[in-house]
Amino acid sequence: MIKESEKRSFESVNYMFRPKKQIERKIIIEILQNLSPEIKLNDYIYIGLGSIYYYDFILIHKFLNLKKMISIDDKSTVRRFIFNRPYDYIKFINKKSTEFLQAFNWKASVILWLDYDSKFDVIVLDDLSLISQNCSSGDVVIITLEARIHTKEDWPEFKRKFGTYVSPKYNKQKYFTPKNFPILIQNVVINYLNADLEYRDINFHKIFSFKYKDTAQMYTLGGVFGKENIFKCKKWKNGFVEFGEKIIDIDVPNLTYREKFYIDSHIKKLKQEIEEIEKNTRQYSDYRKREQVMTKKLNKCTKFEISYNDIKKYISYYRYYPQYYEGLI
Amino acid sequence: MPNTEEKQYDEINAMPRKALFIDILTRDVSVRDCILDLVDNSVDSYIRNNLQDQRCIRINLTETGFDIVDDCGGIEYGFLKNEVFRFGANIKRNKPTLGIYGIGMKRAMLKIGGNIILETDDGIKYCKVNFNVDEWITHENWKIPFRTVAGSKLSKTEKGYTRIRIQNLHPQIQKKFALVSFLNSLRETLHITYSYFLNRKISIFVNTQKVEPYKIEVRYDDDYKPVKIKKELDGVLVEVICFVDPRKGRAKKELGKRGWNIFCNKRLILKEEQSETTGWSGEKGQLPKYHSIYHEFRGIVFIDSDDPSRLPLNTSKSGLDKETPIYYQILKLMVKTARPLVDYLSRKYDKAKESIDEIEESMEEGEISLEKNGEEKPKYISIEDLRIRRVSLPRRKKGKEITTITYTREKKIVEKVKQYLKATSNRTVGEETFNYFLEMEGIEDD
Repeated sequence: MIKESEKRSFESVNYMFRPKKQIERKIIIEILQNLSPEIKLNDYIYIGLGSIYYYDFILIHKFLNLKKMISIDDKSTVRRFIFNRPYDYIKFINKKSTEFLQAFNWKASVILWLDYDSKFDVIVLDDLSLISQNCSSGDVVIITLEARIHTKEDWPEFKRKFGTYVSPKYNKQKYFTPKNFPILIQNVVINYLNADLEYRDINFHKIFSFKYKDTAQMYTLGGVFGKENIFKCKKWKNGFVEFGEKIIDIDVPNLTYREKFYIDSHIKKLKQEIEEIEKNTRQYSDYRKREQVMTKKLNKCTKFEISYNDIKKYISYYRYYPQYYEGLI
Repeated sequence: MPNTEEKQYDEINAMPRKALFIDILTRDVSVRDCILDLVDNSVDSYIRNNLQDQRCIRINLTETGFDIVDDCGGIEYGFLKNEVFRFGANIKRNKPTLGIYGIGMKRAMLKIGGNIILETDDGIKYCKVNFNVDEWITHENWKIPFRTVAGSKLSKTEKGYTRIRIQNLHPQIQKKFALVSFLNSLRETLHITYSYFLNRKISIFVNTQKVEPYKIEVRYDDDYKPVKIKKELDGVLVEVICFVDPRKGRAKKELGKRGWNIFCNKRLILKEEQSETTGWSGEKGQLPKYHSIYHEFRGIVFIDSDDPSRLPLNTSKSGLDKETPIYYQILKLMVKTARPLVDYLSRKYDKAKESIDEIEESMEEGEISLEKNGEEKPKYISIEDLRIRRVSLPRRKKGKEITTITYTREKKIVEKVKQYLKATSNRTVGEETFNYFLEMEGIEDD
């Protein structure tokens, strides 16, 4: 029997209907594909928290051709996790992430994606310590966390727990807001990793970070361990790599199939149209006003109403936008 | 054949090798304590120059260099030439300064980097020392050349200063100086270690950010009054202040607010001490072993002397030298002063609680305030405003007479009720179910 306390996100939300999360997965896969030739992923082990859907595992296998895969989960429905493995070479380990990281032998290179569905807390730092103590140059680590603040009264408590790792410029209550919280978490996580790596000859180099909100606000950080950032001068195939502090916000509008197909089939034209409209509306200093005007102009060449902002967002992510269909099986 | 009987005079070279000297000197000291040693020198300069006005110490550390500059009067030419760079300086001991052994500055420099530039101007003479350690280490001569100008370079309005710049940082130091966590912990340490000075006329900046002073306050209101005693022991003035400070709400850990805080010549040496060092040994004649029921106790000790060599300090000033006769006497005084309050806390919990486990449970929940203080807010006073006072135990609030009810029930059902009540402790379950009975039966509380 499943204990009440064990119910987690996969039972309350069908993973299929988390479009922004799926967009993130696809972008990350594309970045991982692009790590070569600096890093050759052929013999890497993928370690993730596959849940019962194993979406990340499917993508990793299909696009990176990795076969050594381990999925971790500590819930008691072991048979269900094993039953749902899309490939029989995925090894399921019924442990907490911390216990797994303690017991793992760390001999092979890894892509480790800790996709927590819990809030950022001290336990995450325990896992980060285990990672930084054991990882080697070339290991790729991605962590996803819920970046939600319950109340702003929790600020003193946050400072008490994590204050040592907050850079002075972020050590202000104004960063303890739902909007800015991902920045604060990123700051703590990176500073914590660096502090833990003080006596090792490798560092953590951020490659990307995202925030998105399907239900709760989530934050993802990905990077690679190494002496130097070997990717510093690399030309990337997509524009989502970010070594600095900026966090890319994955936000897309909800569109019907017909709308999506329409925009897709006019994407070049719409891009040109947007460029033109932006050029012709520079005289507006009031952003809202300008947006209204741009929407109006844009809607003249679309077959349905859609705001300028929504169409811009969609165009940034159209290659990754998932399509869901109902089918009878 | 040589005459083996003949005695010839010869000499054995017993000169210490500089490399070994540097290695031993810098081995057991943390970088943070080294930086604190440099701050001590600046504070000492303030004290030695008898300054009274506002002065400032600025520390800048980056991956490429370390820089500390103070306007605390500068170093006198003769002192710089003959003492400052000697390992084991012969410091005049007639002021309550923090330097004792005369190794702090050198140790800090050598620990941090390979090239040191010291500039100072005391208003009489400007001096500049360029100390290249890698080069100096290669020759046997222990002298360091330095430049001076005929007079001072200061204008009439400028204050005497000392500036130490350290370059060619050692690789490990470079890495440390880039860590946010190191800078934060340095700030935090400066904030509490120099609280006495920061609350007065010295300000400290780390990478342009001001270090805020930590306020040393004492609980002082109608219910809780501190005890303060002052005593001179062998040329050392000792001040012991103890008080009980129950706080409502969660028993959160706050900096410097538990156990003993001990200052030597106003510099904090031990903070939140709860071990045998400060008497929490459980042995006869000492305090009991530390336990969470003593979180409400706070002790502050000031040990001051115009001859810092009398202070019971270790060389890195990170702890006390317990084996000294003076500390033995001080500890006796501390235990004697704290005893009534510690006994009071033991009794207070003994009475109200049945077992240590239950206390721990309630500590977690923050229900430590057993004597409800009404709605009055606790009052605090600054430590300087506190006069010498004999001990007076916390006043018991006059209230209704209370009694305890105990009973046992099967764990499973208690857990169920607990969940139902959204309670977090058995104690609350008991209280809530009792209140429910009162309400249902209409029993008045009169």
